[in-house]
Amino acid sequence: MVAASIVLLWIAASLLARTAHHQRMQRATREATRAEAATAAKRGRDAVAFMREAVVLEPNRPEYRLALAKALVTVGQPAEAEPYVQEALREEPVNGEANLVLARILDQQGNRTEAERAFYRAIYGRWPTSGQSLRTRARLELVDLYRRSGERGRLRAALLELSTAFPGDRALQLQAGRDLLAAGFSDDAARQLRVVVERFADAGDALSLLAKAEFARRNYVDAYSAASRAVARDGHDDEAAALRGLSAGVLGLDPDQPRLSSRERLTRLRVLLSHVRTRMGRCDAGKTGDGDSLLPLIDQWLARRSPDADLGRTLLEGAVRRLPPACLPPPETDAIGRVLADLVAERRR
Amino acid sequence: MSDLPRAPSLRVWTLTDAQRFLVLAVLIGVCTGLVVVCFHAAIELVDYSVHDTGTTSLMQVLWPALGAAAAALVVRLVPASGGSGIVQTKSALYVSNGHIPFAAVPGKFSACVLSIGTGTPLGPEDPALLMGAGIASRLGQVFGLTQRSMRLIAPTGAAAGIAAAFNTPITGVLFVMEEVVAGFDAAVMGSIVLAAVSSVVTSRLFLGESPLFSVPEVAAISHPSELVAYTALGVVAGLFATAYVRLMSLLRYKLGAIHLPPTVGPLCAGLMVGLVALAWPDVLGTGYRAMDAALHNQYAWSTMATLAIVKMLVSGVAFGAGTPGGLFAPTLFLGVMVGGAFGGLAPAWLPMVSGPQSTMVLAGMAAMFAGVFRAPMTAVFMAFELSGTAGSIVPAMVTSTLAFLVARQLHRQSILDLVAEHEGAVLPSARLVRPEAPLHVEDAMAPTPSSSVLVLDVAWSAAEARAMLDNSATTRVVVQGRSGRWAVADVAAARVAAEHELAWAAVQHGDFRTDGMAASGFLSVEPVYPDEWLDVALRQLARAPLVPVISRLNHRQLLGLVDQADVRRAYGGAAPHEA
Repeated sequence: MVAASIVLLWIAASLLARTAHHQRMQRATREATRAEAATAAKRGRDAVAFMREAVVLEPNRPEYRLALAKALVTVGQPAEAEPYVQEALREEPVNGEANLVLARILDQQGNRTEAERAFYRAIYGRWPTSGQSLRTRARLELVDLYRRSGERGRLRAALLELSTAFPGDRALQLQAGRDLLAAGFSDDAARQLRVVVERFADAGDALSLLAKAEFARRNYVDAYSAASRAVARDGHDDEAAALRGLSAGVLGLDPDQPRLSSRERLTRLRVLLSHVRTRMGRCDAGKTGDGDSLLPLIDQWLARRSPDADLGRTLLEGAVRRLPPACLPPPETDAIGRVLADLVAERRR
Repeated sequence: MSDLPRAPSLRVWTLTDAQRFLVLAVLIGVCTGLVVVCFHAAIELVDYSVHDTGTTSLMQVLWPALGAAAAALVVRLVPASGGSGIVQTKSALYVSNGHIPFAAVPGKFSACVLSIGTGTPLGPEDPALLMGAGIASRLGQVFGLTQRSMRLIAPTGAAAGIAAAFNTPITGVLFVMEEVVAGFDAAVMGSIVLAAVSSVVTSRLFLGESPLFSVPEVAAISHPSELVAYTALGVVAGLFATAYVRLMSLLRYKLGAIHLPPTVGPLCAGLMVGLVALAWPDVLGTGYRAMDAALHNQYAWSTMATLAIVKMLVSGVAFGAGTPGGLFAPTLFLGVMVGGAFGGLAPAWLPMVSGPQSTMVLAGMAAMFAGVFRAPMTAVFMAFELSGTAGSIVPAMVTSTLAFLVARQLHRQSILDLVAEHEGAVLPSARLVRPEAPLHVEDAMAPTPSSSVLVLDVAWSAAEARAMLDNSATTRVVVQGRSGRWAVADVAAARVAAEHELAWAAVQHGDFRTDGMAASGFLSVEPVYPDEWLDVALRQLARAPLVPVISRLNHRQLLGLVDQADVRRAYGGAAPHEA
């Protein structure tokens, strides 16, 4: 009789537990689906409420906890999201997505050091095959973290790592180049963008970016070449066209270009010094003590058409240094301004 | 035929009562585990049905009332299924020789499924405890246990029930040892552990290994200053526990004094619960969801404080009105909310509160449990088992101990003692020990040397013994022979023995036979130790006029003597000669 009772109880427990579990799962799935829809419709609060219900119903599913955490992070409640992520990580510490969410939470909380660690755990963690784009996302967010915190050394390292991590991903390679350029690492950017241009038949705006990188490196010949190729590829690329014109202008004015004759160099110096002299007159730069002594010398050098290029260059540099930056033409858009800026920079170096 | 000795092979298969008891404990655990699985699943399914149908405000108010009324009707039909469950189990242990009517099991099952499933703010744990005890009682009868084993069977089932309900075997064992058995009895410990473990294993087969609610990261105490925060929490929880117990007492007496038809009280309480739940739906049912939410920082401290007060009121009204359901879950709910509110509020004025909120919540839960049920050890292990990390132990220890002490200081009775008293029972409790504690031998012992008793030294010769006896004014002698045996005699008998070399040699050797051949008149007596109950000495005094008290470290060292007059004096009565 006891054995029969146990068997009956076992059957009853199986049936009831299974029915309850089935109901629970159904409801949890329904709530999770509603949460997804709410997320897609940018209704973050609703998504959180639905995911909370799903988590309560199915507390043993880490993916629900993670989804709730993501929803909470989206609505700006990182403190509340953290325990859910930690639970998901307790189940699977190398879960890449959970580490990425944790990194975002820590970043929102201002804990940069831990956030950085979590980003790295996300980058090198385990991802489903369909989640590789998120692994990339982790790298990009790490880059963004470094950019915001102003850690230039780490930013450069992260960007270079990003550029080598996915060699077949054109968009990512291009992104790495663009980010390097934006962060001011023009040498690395040019190298990276050249690789993109060489590796991919359809390099997108890599040529245009390469032109910018080379221009930033003051490598005007390559900048001109890249900009020309970009214009040839896309006639509507106004930026590349402007850059090509600017590079051509610089190449036509720069007295330091190699293989120039003495005469040509002197001519270019004269053009630049005349321009600077005019600017000095306009900006009253000559009325300062130093300017008073410099103006007659410049006028004399220009009037006598002196063949002394070195003196001309010295006068040019001195005049440029005396001019306030507002009086100089903008180096980003004006070839003379660019050449003058390069002269001063070269001198400082 | 029956006189023939049993074959050895058969003897192997014949279990003693104790062995049968242990096997039965496993069986009880399995059966209870299965019933608890059914219980949980049934409550869940009723809850889903109620959620699906009760979407309008009217239905949300009506469901708890209808469920409570239906549950009360079940209790009306099966009176054994009423009450808290723990009181019936203790009654079975102390009063009714382990007998619990089996009707209590299906009755409690259906009543609590109806009430808790529809939203009554009570818990399923104490009902599970009663169901376990009821199953155990039934199985004990089926297996024909002896009366002593039958008395112990109810706590065994109770442990299985509570362990399966919480999915925490240690908590189940400790609660029954602390609260039901009111002490740690080695005889019952093994069976309780077996039953608890087997019930948890069985329930986990169906419900999974997760505890009641998932607890996020718990931080251990990292700096001694944090203890200040936990100390404060312990005191606060102790005060809150006292308030809860007093409110329960008040409501139970006040509502009990209103003579309404049996189903009307729970119906009215259910309506009140439904109305309150329109504003605070988190207080409905077991409250596990809200506890999980509190553990995951989903509430502000003010919300948690409000929820604690509201839950205290609605669970008090529901329980006071006689709605079937347990007190464990509401107590845990209060603890979680008090801990959470404290954790949210404290950092403003206690800068040392820096750990995760969940640690404070768990510590608050343990403290409230210790304060309300007066079971601090269970509370600590519950926090440990629910969190799964040892980091929760120290905070829970601090808060539980303080809450227990504060609550005990402010209110002598635990909530279970109150419920038992309300049900008209006065059951033993580890906390309610009488001020007149049982006496020990040392309380009555008269130290040696005594003016009325001469201690004979067996190293003396017969002549020396005679001389000592002649010079002594005592009336009795006590002696320990070389064999280690003790004896007492009156002085006359001792003189006779000392006058005969042979008799004295027998005394020296410790040969105190009663056949009169050697040391006649010497009564052999078993010595007692100072820490033994006085009852042990009293049993010896039925055979001898006095009993020697010896040291446990040196059996030859006589520490004192006890006679009937000493015993009377120790119990506060006057000795006959004094009277």
